[in-house]
Amino acid sequence: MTVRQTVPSDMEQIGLVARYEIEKSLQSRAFIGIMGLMMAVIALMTLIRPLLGISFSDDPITFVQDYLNWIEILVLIGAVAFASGALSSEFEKRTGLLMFPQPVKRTTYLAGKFLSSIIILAGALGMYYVIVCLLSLMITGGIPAAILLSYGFALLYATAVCAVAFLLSSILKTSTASIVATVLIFLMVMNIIEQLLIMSSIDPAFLISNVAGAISYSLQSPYPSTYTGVDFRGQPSTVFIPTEAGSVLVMIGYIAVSMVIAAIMFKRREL
Amino acid sequence: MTDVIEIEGLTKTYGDFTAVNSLSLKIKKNSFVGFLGPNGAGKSTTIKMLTNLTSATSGTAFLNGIDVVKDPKGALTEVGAVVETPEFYPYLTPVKSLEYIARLRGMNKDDIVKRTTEVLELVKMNEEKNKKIGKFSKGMKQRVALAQALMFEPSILILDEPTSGLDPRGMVEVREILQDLRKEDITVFMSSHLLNEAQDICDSVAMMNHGKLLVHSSIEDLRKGLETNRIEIKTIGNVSDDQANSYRGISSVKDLEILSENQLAIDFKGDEETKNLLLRKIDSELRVISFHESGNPLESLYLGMIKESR
Repeated sequence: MTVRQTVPSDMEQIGLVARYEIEKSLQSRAFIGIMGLMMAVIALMTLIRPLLGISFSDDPITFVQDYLNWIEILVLIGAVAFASGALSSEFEKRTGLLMFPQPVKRTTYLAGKFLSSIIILAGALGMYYVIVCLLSLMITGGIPAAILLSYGFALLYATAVCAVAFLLSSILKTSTASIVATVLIFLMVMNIIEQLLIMSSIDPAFLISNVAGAISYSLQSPYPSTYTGVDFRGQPSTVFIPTEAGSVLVMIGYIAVSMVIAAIMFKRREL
Repeated sequence: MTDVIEIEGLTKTYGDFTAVNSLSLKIKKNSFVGFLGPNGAGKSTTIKMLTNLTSATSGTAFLNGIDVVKDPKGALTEVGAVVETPEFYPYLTPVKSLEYIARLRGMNKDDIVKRTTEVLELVKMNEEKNKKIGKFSKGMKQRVALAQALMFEPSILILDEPTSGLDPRGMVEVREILQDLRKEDITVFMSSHLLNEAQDICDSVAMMNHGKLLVHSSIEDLRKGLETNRIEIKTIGNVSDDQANSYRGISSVKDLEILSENQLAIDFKGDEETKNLLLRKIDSELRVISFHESGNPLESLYLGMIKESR
């Protein structure tokens, strides 16, 4: 019995799980699809304006904000691709029969998979930001000073969306159900609730879809604040702008609550 | 010898249904134990509780002295397991899959390379070692699953239907691998539907039905405790009804069946001496050409117990 070794610590195992999950993601069609989609968005945004005879803004902030309007949808697609099926697939595809009898805690698998999703999305988002910055530099001659802050918000938002996707993946039976639920929540439910709250003049600052606005607002100096304007009917209407600190807290709250519930559900789930 | 698997009052309920009912079982170090029972008996649920796939409703289960319910990571450190037919990540090759699991277990790189070659050779998957598992058949996956369980030379091997999904040749090969493990410092606990398989590989069996343990004993002791043995005898002379009746009159003979005019099957109670006396008597009258023991004693016992427990 020469090969028995000391089982690595939980932290080391988290790193190993993340490493192999990243390897899996990089080989997947989903990764190629996401990268292709990002390139397509950038290409269309850059090529369509000149074709339609619309000039680019000279202001680096306005120029970059145009591209960052797509971040929320790109993050959602990324989360669906790399996080929605992460836990449910272990049960649905029965890979759990192989992995769970290993001396590895379920929470370790959860943390490793979550970390890998974040790393993949951070890389993809980073590439998007770099290309947009290069374009901004070429076309406007500069890049927004707060671009890193915006990237930080985008990363935090991506982490929060992944956490919600993990929560759904820990509860729902199939990857397809997790994907559909994630898309419905972020594309429909959140937006409907947000619109209803705004119509009732209630600040939707606790909604993740609302605080995602910080990704774009953070480029502006000074950071904008909530104001009351006039809507298309001439009625006074409040435009709720999430604060920077509030956005960070809400996103961290989503991450913490979602991951705690996901860990409890994943640990209790049986094969 | 120490008990490396200790199960005490283990119970699993799903609503009103009790899958495993207060199971208590102790398995000694280096023993090979077959875990038998019909479908729905609770074998797989028990194995799943031992391998952190399902939680117990109550009771305890210790592997190498560590409670698998409270500390699954510690308890499974020296345990290799194949539960049902596990699926692998389809994008990984057998080499990569084994490497992943071995690294999670803390094996060093040199040992991983050495053992990967050894275990894939053992399960006859060396030629496919660099192909993606996604395209493998169920039998091939089962072989790789066995390889991962043996990779780190476990002290306890828990197998749930280890030959499931294999073709007849594969079944024989897996049995040979398991029999070869007898030379190693290992305890094997395996569930099976195949009684011959358990009889060939194991030195003791635990039988359960309706979630309850019916018996746990060595195969040798079970054989001794059997009520009757059966032999089939071929003779030169034809068996007449009178002769058959005279044999039925022998106290050790429990039943006699004429299979053909020169072939009969006798169920008798007794040891080898009783069998010898019986054969000599028949030989003196009908001249015995050949005889063989028929029926699987374990099967007789199994069927009897399952019937009783209904």
